[in-house]
Amino acid sequence: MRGGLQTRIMLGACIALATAACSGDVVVESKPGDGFEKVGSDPLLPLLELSVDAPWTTTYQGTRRVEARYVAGGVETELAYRETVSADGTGNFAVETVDVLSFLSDPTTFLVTQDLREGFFYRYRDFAVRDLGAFYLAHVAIDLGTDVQIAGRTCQEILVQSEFPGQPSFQVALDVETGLVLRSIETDGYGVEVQRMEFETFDPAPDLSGVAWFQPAIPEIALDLSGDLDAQVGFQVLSPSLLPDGYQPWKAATITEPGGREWVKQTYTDGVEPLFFFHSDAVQPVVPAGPSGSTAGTSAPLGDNLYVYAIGPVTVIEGHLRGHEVIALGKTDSDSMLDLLESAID
Amino acid sequence: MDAAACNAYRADWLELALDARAGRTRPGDLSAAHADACDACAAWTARRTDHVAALASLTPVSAPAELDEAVAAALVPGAGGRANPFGERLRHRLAALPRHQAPSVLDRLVAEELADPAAARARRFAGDLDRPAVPGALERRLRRVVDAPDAPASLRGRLWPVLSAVAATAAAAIILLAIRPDRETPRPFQVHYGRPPVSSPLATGLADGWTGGILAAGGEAVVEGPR
Repeated sequence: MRGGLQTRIMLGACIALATAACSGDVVVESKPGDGFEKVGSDPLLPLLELSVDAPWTTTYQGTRRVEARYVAGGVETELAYRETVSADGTGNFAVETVDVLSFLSDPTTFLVTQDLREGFFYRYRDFAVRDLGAFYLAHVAIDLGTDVQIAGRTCQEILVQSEFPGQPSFQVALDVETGLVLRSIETDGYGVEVQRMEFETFDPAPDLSGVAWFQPAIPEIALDLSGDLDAQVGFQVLSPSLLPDGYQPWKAATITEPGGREWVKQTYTDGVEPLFFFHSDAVQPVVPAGPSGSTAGTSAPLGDNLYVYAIGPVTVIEGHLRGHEVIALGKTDSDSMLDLLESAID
Repeated sequence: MDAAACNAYRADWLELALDARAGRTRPGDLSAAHADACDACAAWTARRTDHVAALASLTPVSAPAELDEAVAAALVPGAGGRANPFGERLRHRLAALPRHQAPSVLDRLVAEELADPAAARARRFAGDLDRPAVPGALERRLRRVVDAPDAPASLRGRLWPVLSAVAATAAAAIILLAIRPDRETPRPFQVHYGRPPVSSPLATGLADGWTGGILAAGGEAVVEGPR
Protein backbone atom coordinates (compact mmCIF):
# COMPACT_ATOMS: atom_id res chain seq x y z
CA MET A 1 0.00 0.00 0.00
CA ARG A 2 1.76 3.07 -1.22
CA GLY A 3 -0.73 5.18 0.67
CA GLY A 4 0.67 3.71 3.82
CA LEU A 5 3.95 5.54 3.32
CA GLN A 6 2.41 8.90 4.04
CA THR A 7 0.68 7.53 7.08
CA ARG A 8 3.91 6.00 8.20
CA ILE A 9 5.77 9.27 7.82
CA MET A 10 3.09 11.03 9.87
CA LEU A 11 3.24 8.35 12.51
CA GLY A 12 6.99 8.48 12.52
CA ALA A 13 6.87 12.17 13.31
CA CYS A 14 5.06 11.31 16.51
CA ILE A 15 7.18 8.37 17.58
CA ALA A 16 9.25 10.43 19.96
CA LEU A 17 6.16 11.60 21.77
CA ALA A 18 4.79 8.09 21.75
CA THR A 19 7.96 6.78 23.30
CA ALA A 20 7.36 9.12 26.18
CA ALA A 21 4.27 7.05 26.87
CA CYS A 22 6.49 4.27 28.10
CA SER A 23 7.54 6.19 31.13
CA GLY A 24 5.31 9.14 31.75
CA ASP A 25 1.86 10.64 31.66
CA VAL A 26 1.76 12.04 28.17
CA VAL A 27 0.67 9.47 25.64
CA VAL A 28 0.51 10.84 22.12
CA GLU A 29 -0.04 14.45 21.17
CA SER A 30 -2.40 15.34 18.38
CA LYS A 31 -1.05 15.56 14.86
CA PRO A 32 -2.01 18.54 12.77
CA GLY A 33 -4.04 18.19 9.65
CA ASP A 34 -5.24 14.62 9.61
CA GLY A 35 -7.85 14.69 12.31
CA PHE A 36 -6.05 12.04 14.30
CA GLU A 37 -6.01 12.91 17.96
CA LYS A 38 -5.34 11.09 21.12
CA VAL A 39 -5.93 12.32 24.58
CA GLY A 40 -2.87 13.64 26.37
CA SER A 41 -3.30 11.40 29.36
CA ASP A 42 -4.83 7.95 29.27
CA PRO A 43 -6.14 6.50 32.55
CA LEU A 44 -5.49 3.01 31.14
CA LEU A 45 -1.79 3.75 30.72
CA PRO A 46 -0.56 2.41 34.10
CA LEU A 47 -2.35 -0.93 33.60
CA LEU A 48 -1.21 -1.29 29.98
CA GLU A 49 2.33 -0.40 30.99
CA LEU A 50 2.19 -3.08 33.67
CA SER A 51 0.85 -5.53 31.10
CA VAL A 52 3.85 -5.23 28.78
CA ASP A 53 6.25 -6.97 31.15
CA ALA A 54 3.72 -9.02 33.13
CA PRO A 55 4.28 -12.34 31.31
CA TRP A 56 7.99 -12.12 32.08
CA THR A 57 7.95 -10.75 35.62
CA THR A 58 4.96 -12.50 37.19
CA THR A 59 5.08 -15.85 38.93
CA TYR A 60 1.90 -17.80 38.25
CA GLN A 61 0.33 -21.00 37.02
CA GLY A 62 -3.10 -21.60 35.57
CA THR A 63 -5.21 -23.49 33.15
CA ARG A 64 -6.77 -21.73 30.23
CA ARG A 65 -9.15 -22.60 27.45
CA VAL A 66 -8.21 -21.67 23.91
CA GLU A 67 -10.68 -21.58 21.03
CA ALA A 68 -10.07 -20.70 17.39
CA ARG A 69 -12.53 -20.46 14.53
CA TYR A 70 -11.57 -19.83 10.94
CA VAL A 71 -13.41 -19.87 7.65
CA ALA A 72 -11.00 -20.31 4.79
CA GLY A 73 -11.67 -21.51 1.29
CA GLY A 74 -15.30 -22.00 2.25
CA VAL A 75 -14.38 -24.42 5.01
CA GLU A 76 -15.28 -23.58 8.61
CA THR A 77 -12.82 -25.00 11.06
CA GLU A 78 -12.93 -24.92 14.85
CA LEU A 79 -10.40 -25.87 17.45
CA ALA A 80 -10.72 -25.85 21.23
CA TYR A 81 -8.30 -27.12 23.81
CA ARG A 82 -7.18 -26.60 27.36
CA GLU A 83 -3.62 -25.87 28.39
CA THR A 84 -1.60 -25.32 31.52
CA VAL A 85 0.63 -22.26 31.58
CA SER A 86 3.39 -21.61 34.10
CA ALA A 87 5.90 -18.80 34.55
CA ASP A 88 8.52 -18.21 37.23
CA GLY A 89 8.78 -14.42 36.93
CA THR A 90 12.35 -14.50 35.67
CA GLY A 91 11.65 -15.29 32.02
CA ASN A 92 11.09 -19.04 32.20
CA PHE A 93 7.74 -20.32 31.01
CA ALA A 94 5.97 -23.52 30.02
CA VAL A 95 2.78 -24.18 28.10
CA GLU A 96 1.37 -27.70 28.00
CA THR A 97 -1.74 -28.71 26.11
CA VAL A 98 -3.60 -31.02 28.47
CA ASP A 99 -7.01 -31.54 26.95
CA VAL A 100 -8.50 -31.47 23.46
CA LEU A 101 -12.07 -30.18 23.55
CA SER A 102 -13.04 -30.23 19.89
CA PHE A 103 -13.23 -33.17 17.55
CA LEU A 104 -9.91 -34.07 15.97
CA SER A 105 -9.26 -37.21 13.99
CA ASP A 106 -5.96 -37.76 15.78
CA PRO A 107 -5.86 -35.87 19.09
CA THR A 108 -2.74 -37.67 20.28
CA THR A 109 -0.63 -36.45 17.38
CA PHE A 110 -2.11 -33.00 17.86
CA LEU A 111 -1.15 -33.04 21.53
CA VAL A 112 2.42 -34.03 20.79
CA THR A 113 2.74 -31.48 18.00
CA GLN A 114 1.49 -28.74 20.31
CA ASP A 115 4.66 -29.15 22.35
CA LEU A 116 6.67 -28.02 19.36
CA ARG A 117 4.71 -24.75 19.32
CA GLU A 118 5.12 -24.00 23.01
CA GLY A 119 7.45 -21.05 22.54
CA PHE A 120 5.30 -19.43 19.88
CA PHE A 121 2.18 -19.83 21.98
CA TYR A 122 3.57 -17.98 24.96
CA ARG A 123 5.37 -15.26 23.05
CA TYR A 124 3.16 -14.48 20.08
CA ARG A 125 -0.17 -16.32 19.84
CA ASP A 126 -2.42 -14.37 22.20
CA PHE A 127 -3.22 -10.71 22.62
CA ALA A 128 -0.51 -8.78 24.42
CA VAL A 129 0.70 -5.22 24.49
CA ARG A 130 4.15 -5.94 23.09
CA ASP A 131 5.36 -2.41 22.50
CA LEU A 132 3.58 0.46 24.22
CA GLY A 133 4.67 3.19 21.79
CA ALA A 134 3.63 1.22 18.71
CA PHE A 135 0.43 0.19 20.49
CA TYR A 136 -0.70 3.76 21.08
CA LEU A 137 0.21 4.82 17.55
CA ALA A 138 -1.81 2.06 15.94
CA HIS A 139 -4.64 1.42 18.40
CA VAL A 140 -7.31 3.01 20.52
CA ALA A 141 -7.89 1.48 23.95
CA ILE A 142 -11.34 2.00 25.43
CA ASP A 143 -12.13 1.29 29.06
CA LEU A 144 -15.39 -0.67 29.05
CA GLY A 145 -15.94 0.39 32.65
CA THR A 146 -16.63 -3.12 33.83
CA ASP A 147 -14.66 -5.16 36.31
CA VAL A 148 -15.06 -8.89 35.78
CA GLN A 149 -14.00 -11.92 37.80
CA ILE A 150 -11.94 -14.41 35.83
CA ALA A 151 -10.52 -17.45 37.57
CA GLY A 152 -11.12 -15.68 40.86
CA ARG A 153 -9.18 -12.57 39.86
CA THR A 154 -10.50 -9.05 39.42
CA CYS A 155 -9.93 -7.87 35.87
CA GLN A 156 -10.54 -4.61 34.05
CA GLU A 157 -12.13 -5.00 30.63
CA ILE A 158 -10.92 -2.90 27.73
CA LEU A 159 -11.65 -2.82 24.03
CA VAL A 160 -8.70 -2.43 21.69
CA GLN A 161 -9.38 -1.26 18.17
CA SER A 162 -6.92 -0.64 15.37
CA GLU A 163 -6.58 2.78 13.78
CA PHE A 164 -6.44 1.05 10.42
CA PRO A 165 -9.35 -0.54 8.56
CA GLY A 166 -9.63 -4.27 8.21
CA GLN A 167 -7.50 -5.04 11.25
CA PRO A 168 -8.69 -7.21 14.14
CA SER A 169 -10.17 -5.87 17.37
CA PHE A 170 -9.73 -7.30 20.84
CA GLN A 171 -11.83 -7.35 23.98
CA VAL A 172 -9.43 -8.14 26.78
CA ALA A 173 -9.59 -8.55 30.53
CA LEU A 174 -6.45 -7.47 32.38
CA ASP A 175 -5.71 -8.64 35.90
CA VAL A 176 -5.66 -5.36 37.84
CA GLU A 177 -2.93 -6.58 40.18
CA THR A 178 -0.43 -8.07 37.73
CA GLY A 179 -1.47 -6.72 34.31
CA LEU A 180 -1.67 -10.25 32.88
CA VAL A 181 -4.20 -10.84 30.14
CA LEU A 182 -6.62 -13.37 31.63
CA ARG A 183 -9.10 -13.27 28.77
CA SER A 184 -8.88 -12.08 25.19
CA ILE A 185 -11.46 -12.26 22.44
CA GLU A 186 -10.24 -11.44 18.95
CA THR A 187 -12.63 -10.43 16.19
CA ASP A 188 -11.59 -10.01 12.59
CA GLY A 189 -12.11 -6.96 10.39
CA TYR A 190 -15.69 -8.07 9.75
CA GLY A 191 -16.52 -8.37 13.46
CA VAL A 192 -16.47 -12.16 13.51
CA GLU A 193 -14.88 -13.82 16.54
CA VAL A 194 -11.83 -15.80 15.44
CA GLN A 195 -9.95 -16.56 18.63
CA ARG A 196 -10.60 -16.65 22.36
CA MET A 197 -8.36 -17.40 25.32
CA GLU A 198 -9.59 -17.46 28.90
CA PHE A 199 -8.04 -18.55 32.17
CA GLU A 200 -10.15 -21.07 34.11
CA THR A 201 -7.85 -21.33 37.12
CA PHE A 202 -5.11 -19.01 38.35
CA ASP A 203 -2.59 -19.61 41.10
CA PRO A 204 -0.35 -16.64 42.01
CA ALA A 205 1.83 -18.75 44.33
CA PRO A 206 2.23 -22.10 42.61
CA ASP A 207 4.60 -24.96 43.29
CA LEU A 208 6.76 -24.88 40.16
CA SER A 209 9.27 -27.50 41.21
CA GLY A 210 8.12 -30.06 38.63
CA VAL A 211 7.69 -27.71 35.71
CA ALA A 212 9.69 -28.45 32.57
CA TRP A 213 10.55 -25.00 31.28
CA PHE A 214 10.56 -24.21 27.59
CA GLN A 215 13.89 -24.55 25.84
CA PRO A 216 14.21 -22.91 22.40
CA ALA A 217 14.96 -25.38 19.62
CA ILE A 218 17.32 -22.93 17.94
CA PRO A 219 18.65 -20.19 20.21
CA GLU A 220 18.47 -16.61 18.98
CA ILE A 221 21.22 -14.03 19.37
CA ALA A 222 19.66 -10.59 19.78
CA LEU A 223 20.87 -7.71 17.62
CA ASP A 224 20.94 -4.05 18.59
CA LEU A 225 18.37 -2.31 16.39
CA SER A 226 19.91 1.09 17.07
CA GLY A 227 23.27 -0.09 15.73
CA ASP A 228 24.55 -1.09 12.29
CA LEU A 229 22.99 -4.48 11.59
CA ASP A 230 25.42 -5.27 8.75
CA ALA A 231 28.37 -4.86 11.09
CA GLN A 232 26.75 -6.98 13.79
CA VAL A 233 25.83 -9.79 11.43
CA GLY A 234 28.83 -9.74 9.12
CA PHE A 235 26.90 -9.58 5.86
CA GLN A 236 24.44 -7.27 4.17
CA VAL A 237 21.08 -7.25 5.93
CA LEU A 238 17.95 -6.67 3.88
CA SER A 239 16.25 -3.87 5.80
CA PRO A 240 12.68 -3.03 4.75
CA SER A 241 11.90 0.68 4.74
CA LEU A 242 8.19 0.46 4.00
CA LEU A 243 6.18 -1.38 6.62
CA PRO A 244 2.47 -2.19 6.74
CA ASP A 245 0.31 0.54 8.28
CA GLY A 246 0.95 0.90 11.99
CA TYR A 247 3.93 -1.44 12.19
CA GLN A 248 7.28 -0.45 13.70
CA PRO A 249 10.60 -2.29 14.02
CA TRP A 250 10.54 -4.27 17.25
CA LYS A 251 13.37 -6.80 17.48
CA ALA A 252 16.16 -8.33 15.43
CA ALA A 253 18.19 -11.47 15.98
CA THR A 254 20.33 -14.02 14.24
CA ILE A 255 19.54 -17.71 14.13
CA THR A 256 21.96 -20.41 13.12
CA GLU A 257 20.52 -23.61 11.75
CA PRO A 258 22.01 -26.90 12.94
CA GLY A 259 23.67 -27.16 9.51
CA GLY A 260 25.43 -23.85 10.09
CA ARG A 261 23.39 -21.60 7.82
CA GLU A 262 22.70 -18.24 9.36
CA TRP A 263 19.41 -16.34 9.23
CA VAL A 264 18.51 -12.80 10.17
CA LYS A 265 15.16 -12.55 11.92
CA GLN A 266 13.59 -9.09 11.96
CA THR A 267 10.34 -8.70 13.87
CA TYR A 268 7.95 -5.80 13.55
CA THR A 269 4.85 -5.02 15.55
CA ASP A 270 1.88 -2.70 15.60
CA GLY A 271 2.06 -2.99 19.37
CA VAL A 272 -0.06 -6.15 19.41
CA GLU A 273 0.57 -8.37 16.39
CA PRO A 274 4.05 -9.52 15.40
CA LEU A 275 5.25 -9.63 11.80
CA PHE A 276 8.30 -11.71 10.94
CA PHE A 277 10.85 -11.26 8.16
CA PHE A 278 13.61 -13.85 7.86
CA HIS A 279 16.37 -14.00 5.30
CA SER A 280 19.37 -16.24 4.96
CA ASP A 281 22.93 -15.24 4.29
CA ALA A 282 23.71 -17.95 1.78
CA VAL A 283 23.45 -17.34 -1.93
CA GLN A 284 20.75 -19.65 -3.21
CA PRO A 285 20.67 -21.29 -6.63
CA VAL A 286 18.30 -19.87 -9.20
CA VAL A 287 14.87 -21.42 -8.91
CA PRO A 288 12.75 -21.38 -12.05
CA ALA A 289 9.26 -19.94 -11.76
CA GLY A 290 6.86 -22.69 -10.85
CA PRO A 291 3.27 -23.09 -12.03
CA SER A 292 1.94 -23.39 -8.48
CA GLY A 293 -0.49 -20.50 -8.74
CA SER A 294 -1.39 -17.36 -10.62
CA THR A 295 1.53 -15.11 -11.47
CA ALA A 296 1.71 -11.34 -11.36
CA GLY A 297 3.63 -9.21 -13.88
CA THR A 298 7.25 -8.51 -13.08
CA SER A 299 10.51 -6.97 -14.11
CA ALA A 300 12.40 -9.40 -11.92
CA PRO A 301 15.89 -10.71 -12.43
CA LEU A 302 15.90 -14.43 -13.02
CA GLY A 303 15.62 -16.23 -9.70
CA ASP A 304 13.70 -13.59 -7.74
CA ASN A 305 10.58 -15.61 -7.07
CA LEU A 306 8.15 -15.11 -4.20
CA TYR A 307 5.23 -17.36 -3.35
CA VAL A 308 2.32 -15.73 -1.57
CA TYR A 309 -0.39 -17.67 0.23
CA ALA A 310 -2.56 -17.45 3.30
CA ILE A 311 -3.09 -19.83 6.17
CA GLY A 312 -6.18 -18.54 7.91
CA PRO A 313 -5.50 -14.95 8.97
CA VAL A 314 -1.78 -15.22 8.29
CA THR A 315 -0.19 -14.10 5.03
CA VAL A 316 2.90 -16.13 4.24
CA ILE A 317 5.53 -15.19 1.66
CA GLU A 318 8.51 -17.38 0.91
CA GLY A 319 10.99 -17.58 -1.89
CA HIS A 320 14.25 -16.08 -3.10
CA LEU A 321 15.28 -12.45 -3.38
CA ARG A 322 18.66 -11.23 -4.60
CA GLY A 323 20.18 -14.57 -3.75
CA HIS A 324 18.74 -14.75 -0.24
CA GLU A 325 16.09 -17.19 0.88
CA VAL A 326 13.34 -15.05 2.41
CA ILE A 327 10.30 -15.75 4.56
CA ALA A 328 7.76 -13.21 5.77
CA LEU A 329 4.68 -13.87 7.90
CA GLY A 330 2.12 -11.54 9.37
CA LYS A 331 -1.55 -10.97 9.98
CA THR A 332 -1.83 -8.30 7.32
CA ASP A 333 -2.66 -8.16 3.62
CA SER A 334 -0.41 -9.58 0.92
CA ASP A 335 0.15 -6.26 -0.88
CA SER A 336 1.56 -4.68 2.28
CA MET A 337 3.81 -7.67 2.80
CA LEU A 338 5.06 -7.52 -0.79
CA ASP A 339 5.70 -3.79 -0.39
CA LEU A 340 7.79 -4.59 2.67
CA LEU A 341 9.92 -7.05 0.69
CA GLU A 342 10.22 -4.72 -2.28
CA SER A 343 11.43 -1.92 -0.02
CA ALA A 344 14.08 -4.25 1.38
CA ILE A 345 15.86 -4.39 -1.99
CA ASP A 346 15.38 -0.76 -3.04
CA MET B 1 21.21 -29.20 33.25
CA ASP B 2 22.41 -28.13 29.82
CA ALA B 3 19.49 -26.53 27.95
CA ALA B 4 20.67 -27.92 24.62
CA ALA B 5 20.73 -31.44 26.02
CA CYS B 6 17.20 -31.02 27.43
CA ASN B 7 16.01 -29.73 24.12
CA ALA B 8 17.63 -32.53 22.14
CA TYR B 9 16.15 -35.13 24.47
CA ARG B 10 12.63 -33.68 24.21
CA ALA B 11 12.83 -33.31 20.43
CA ASP B 12 13.92 -36.95 20.11
CA TRP B 13 11.13 -38.05 22.42
CA LEU B 14 8.49 -36.17 20.45
CA GLU B 15 9.84 -37.46 17.15
CA LEU B 16 9.69 -41.05 18.41
CA ALA B 17 6.17 -40.52 19.71
CA LEU B 18 5.01 -39.16 16.36
CA ASP B 19 6.72 -42.00 14.51
CA ALA B 20 5.02 -44.51 16.76
CA ARG B 21 1.62 -42.91 16.13
CA ALA B 22 2.25 -43.12 12.40
CA GLY B 23 3.20 -46.78 12.67
CA ARG B 24 6.83 -46.13 11.86
CA THR B 25 9.54 -47.76 13.89
CA ARG B 26 13.19 -46.93 13.99
CA PRO B 27 16.15 -49.02 15.05
CA GLY B 28 17.37 -48.29 18.52
CA ASP B 29 15.54 -46.42 21.23
CA LEU B 30 15.73 -43.17 23.11
CA SER B 31 18.39 -43.18 25.78
CA ALA B 32 16.88 -42.74 29.21
CA ALA B 33 20.17 -41.56 30.64
CA HIS B 34 19.33 -37.90 30.24
CA ALA B 35 15.92 -38.21 31.89
CA ASP B 36 17.49 -40.14 34.76
CA ALA B 37 19.82 -37.24 35.45
CA CYS B 38 17.43 -34.35 34.73
CA ASP B 39 14.45 -33.84 37.04
CA ALA B 40 12.76 -31.37 34.72
CA CYS B 41 12.92 -33.73 31.76
CA ALA B 42 11.84 -36.67 33.88
CA ALA B 43 8.76 -34.72 34.98
CA TRP B 44 8.13 -33.62 31.41
CA THR B 45 8.39 -37.22 30.14
CA ALA B 46 6.06 -38.52 32.82
CA ARG B 47 3.39 -35.97 32.00
CA ARG B 48 3.70 -36.52 28.28
CA THR B 49 3.52 -40.29 28.71
CA ASP B 50 0.40 -39.95 30.87
CA HIS B 51 -1.30 -37.66 28.38
CA VAL B 52 -0.52 -39.84 25.39
CA ALA B 53 -1.61 -42.99 27.19
CA ALA B 54 -4.81 -41.38 28.46
CA LEU B 55 -5.81 -40.09 25.05
CA ALA B 56 -4.82 -43.27 23.25
CA SER B 57 -6.94 -45.34 25.65
CA LEU B 58 -10.11 -43.45 24.78
CA THR B 59 -12.60 -45.22 22.58
CA PRO B 60 -14.05 -43.10 19.79
CA VAL B 61 -17.68 -42.36 20.55
CA SER B 62 -20.16 -42.35 17.70
CA ALA B 63 -23.07 -39.95 17.67
CA PRO B 64 -26.31 -41.72 18.62
CA ALA B 65 -28.66 -42.50 15.78
CA GLU B 66 -31.32 -40.38 17.52
CA LEU B 67 -29.19 -37.32 16.86
CA ASP B 68 -29.58 -37.74 13.11
CA GLU B 69 -33.33 -37.88 13.53
CA ALA B 70 -33.35 -34.85 15.79
CA VAL B 71 -31.33 -32.83 13.29
CA ALA B 72 -33.62 -33.89 10.45
CA ALA B 73 -36.65 -32.91 12.52
CA ALA B 74 -35.20 -29.49 13.19
CA LEU B 75 -34.43 -28.88 9.54
CA VAL B 76 -37.53 -30.32 7.90
CA PRO B 77 -40.94 -29.72 9.50
CA GLY B 78 -42.53 -33.00 10.39
CA ALA B 79 -39.52 -35.15 9.55
CA GLY B 80 -38.90 -37.79 12.17
CA GLY B 81 -42.35 -37.15 13.55
CA ARG B 82 -41.18 -34.37 15.86
CA ALA B 83 -41.30 -30.69 14.98
CA ASN B 84 -38.98 -28.09 16.47
CA PRO B 85 -41.26 -25.53 18.22
CA PHE B 86 -38.67 -22.78 18.03
CA GLY B 87 -38.02 -23.44 14.35
CA GLU B 88 -41.76 -23.44 13.65
CA ARG B 89 -42.26 -20.10 15.40
CA LEU B 90 -39.32 -18.61 13.53
CA ARG B 91 -40.62 -19.86 10.22
CA HIS B 92 -44.08 -18.38 10.84
CA ARG B 93 -42.67 -15.01 11.81
CA LEU B 94 -40.40 -14.87 8.79
CA ALA B 95 -43.28 -15.84 6.51
CA ALA B 96 -45.40 -13.03 7.96
CA LEU B 97 -42.86 -10.35 7.10
CA PRO B 98 -43.67 -8.22 4.04
CA ARG B 99 -41.60 -9.10 1.00
CA HIS B 100 -39.58 -6.40 -0.68
CA GLN B 101 -38.19 -6.70 -4.17
CA ALA B 102 -34.49 -5.94 -4.35
CA PRO B 103 -33.72 -3.27 -6.94
CA SER B 104 -32.11 -4.62 -10.09
CA VAL B 105 -29.15 -2.28 -9.67
CA LEU B 106 -28.35 -4.08 -6.43
CA ASP B 107 -28.17 -7.38 -8.28
CA ARG B 108 -25.82 -5.84 -10.82
CA LEU B 109 -23.60 -4.23 -8.16
CA VAL B 110 -23.39 -7.43 -6.17
CA ALA B 111 -22.54 -9.41 -9.30
CA GLU B 112 -19.83 -6.91 -10.24
CA GLU B 113 -18.46 -6.89 -6.72
CA LEU B 114 -18.27 -10.66 -6.64
CA ALA B 115 -16.68 -10.87 -10.08
CA ASP B 116 -13.98 -8.27 -9.43
CA PRO B 117 -14.17 -6.52 -6.04
CA ALA B 118 -11.28 -4.11 -6.62
CA ALA B 119 -12.48 -2.93 -10.01
CA ALA B 120 -16.04 -2.54 -8.73
CA ARG B 121 -14.87 -0.37 -5.83
CA ALA B 122 -12.72 1.75 -8.13
CA ARG B 123 -15.61 2.35 -10.50
CA ARG B 124 -17.95 3.38 -7.69
CA PHE B 125 -15.45 5.74 -6.13
CA ALA B 126 -14.60 7.24 -9.52
CA GLY B 127 -18.27 8.12 -10.00
CA ASP B 128 -18.21 10.10 -6.77
CA LEU B 129 -15.23 12.22 -7.77
CA ASP B 130 -15.68 15.83 -8.86
CA ARG B 131 -14.97 16.40 -12.51
CA PRO B 132 -11.81 18.48 -12.75
CA ALA B 133 -11.82 21.55 -14.96
CA VAL B 134 -9.59 21.64 -18.03
CA PRO B 135 -6.22 23.06 -16.94
CA GLY B 136 -5.93 26.78 -17.64
CA ALA B 137 -2.65 26.34 -19.51
CA LEU B 138 -4.21 23.84 -21.91
CA GLU B 139 -7.17 26.09 -22.51
CA ARG B 140 -4.89 29.08 -23.26
CA ARG B 141 -2.82 27.01 -25.70
CA LEU B 142 -5.85 25.83 -27.58
CA ARG B 143 -7.25 29.33 -27.69
CA ARG B 144 -3.97 30.61 -29.15
CA VAL B 145 -4.19 28.02 -31.94
CA VAL B 146 -7.80 28.67 -32.70
CA ASP B 147 -7.55 32.46 -32.47
CA ALA B 148 -4.38 32.68 -34.53
CA PRO B 149 -4.76 35.13 -37.43
CA ASP B 150 -3.68 32.47 -39.92
CA ALA B 151 -6.14 29.88 -38.70
CA PRO B 152 -8.90 29.18 -41.18
CA ALA B 153 -12.12 30.74 -40.18
CA SER B 154 -13.87 27.39 -40.42
CA LEU B 155 -11.44 25.94 -37.87
CA ARG B 156 -12.62 28.33 -35.22
CA GLY B 157 -16.06 26.91 -35.51
CA ARG B 158 -15.24 23.21 -36.05
CA LEU B 159 -12.00 22.53 -34.22
CA TRP B 160 -12.91 23.92 -30.85
CA PRO B 161 -15.47 21.22 -29.95
CA VAL B 162 -13.08 18.50 -31.18
CA LEU B 163 -10.17 19.82 -29.14
CA SER B 164 -12.38 20.21 -26.12
CA ALA B 165 -13.43 16.58 -26.43
CA VAL B 166 -9.78 15.49 -26.75
CA ALA B 167 -8.85 17.48 -23.67
CA ALA B 168 -11.73 16.03 -21.67
CA THR B 169 -10.74 12.50 -22.75
CA ALA B 170 -7.15 13.11 -21.70
CA ALA B 171 -8.26 14.40 -18.32
CA ALA B 172 -10.50 11.36 -17.82
CA ALA B 173 -7.66 9.03 -18.78
CA ILE B 174 -5.40 10.69 -16.21
CA ILE B 175 -8.03 10.20 -13.51
CA LEU B 176 -8.57 6.56 -14.43
CA LEU B 177 -4.85 5.87 -14.39
CA ALA B 178 -4.56 7.51 -11.02
CA ILE B 179 -7.27 5.37 -9.44
CA ARG B 180 -6.82 2.07 -11.23
CA PRO B 181 -6.39 -0.68 -8.67
CA ASP B 182 -3.66 -2.54 -10.55
CA ARG B 183 -0.04 -1.61 -10.10
CA GLU B 184 1.34 0.77 -12.71
CA THR B 185 4.82 -0.66 -12.47
CA PRO B 186 5.61 -4.34 -12.04
CA ARG B 187 7.29 -5.70 -8.94
CA PRO B 188 11.02 -6.22 -9.20
CA PHE B 189 10.41 -9.90 -8.50
CA GLN B 190 8.12 -12.63 -9.74
CA VAL B 191 5.05 -13.15 -7.57
CA HIS B 192 3.24 -16.48 -7.55
CA TYR B 193 -0.05 -16.70 -5.70
CA GLY B 194 0.08 -20.17 -4.24
CA ARG B 195 2.30 -22.44 -2.24
CA PRO B 196 5.83 -23.09 -3.44
CA PRO B 197 6.72 -26.57 -4.67
CA VAL B 198 8.51 -27.14 -1.35
CA SER B 199 7.38 -25.10 1.61
CA SER B 200 9.83 -24.06 4.30
CA PRO B 201 9.25 -25.85 7.63
CA LEU B 202 10.06 -22.57 9.35
CA ALA B 203 7.25 -20.76 7.52
CA THR B 204 4.62 -23.43 8.01
CA GLY B 205 5.70 -23.97 11.62
CA LEU B 206 5.18 -20.32 12.50
CA ALA B 207 1.86 -20.12 10.64
CA ASP B 208 0.67 -23.25 12.42
CA GLY B 209 1.57 -21.58 15.72
CA TRP B 210 -1.05 -18.94 15.05
CA THR B 211 -3.75 -21.36 13.96
CA GLY B 212 -2.95 -24.44 15.99
CA GLY B 213 -2.14 -26.26 12.77
CA ILE B 214 -5.78 -26.91 11.97
CA LEU B 215 -5.79 -25.00 8.71
CA ALA B 216 -2.67 -26.47 7.20
CA ALA B 217 -3.76 -30.09 7.54
CA GLY B 218 -4.39 -31.46 4.09
CA GLY B 219 -4.20 -27.97 2.68
CA GLU B 220 -7.97 -27.88 2.21
CA ALA B 221 -8.51 -24.72 4.17
CA VAL B 222 -5.52 -22.88 2.80
CA VAL B 223 -6.55 -19.82 0.84
CA GLU B 224 -4.49 -18.95 -2.17
CA GLY B 225 -4.50 -15.69 -4.06
CA PRO B 226 -4.29 -12.00 -3.21
CA ARG B 227 -5.94 -10.96 0.03
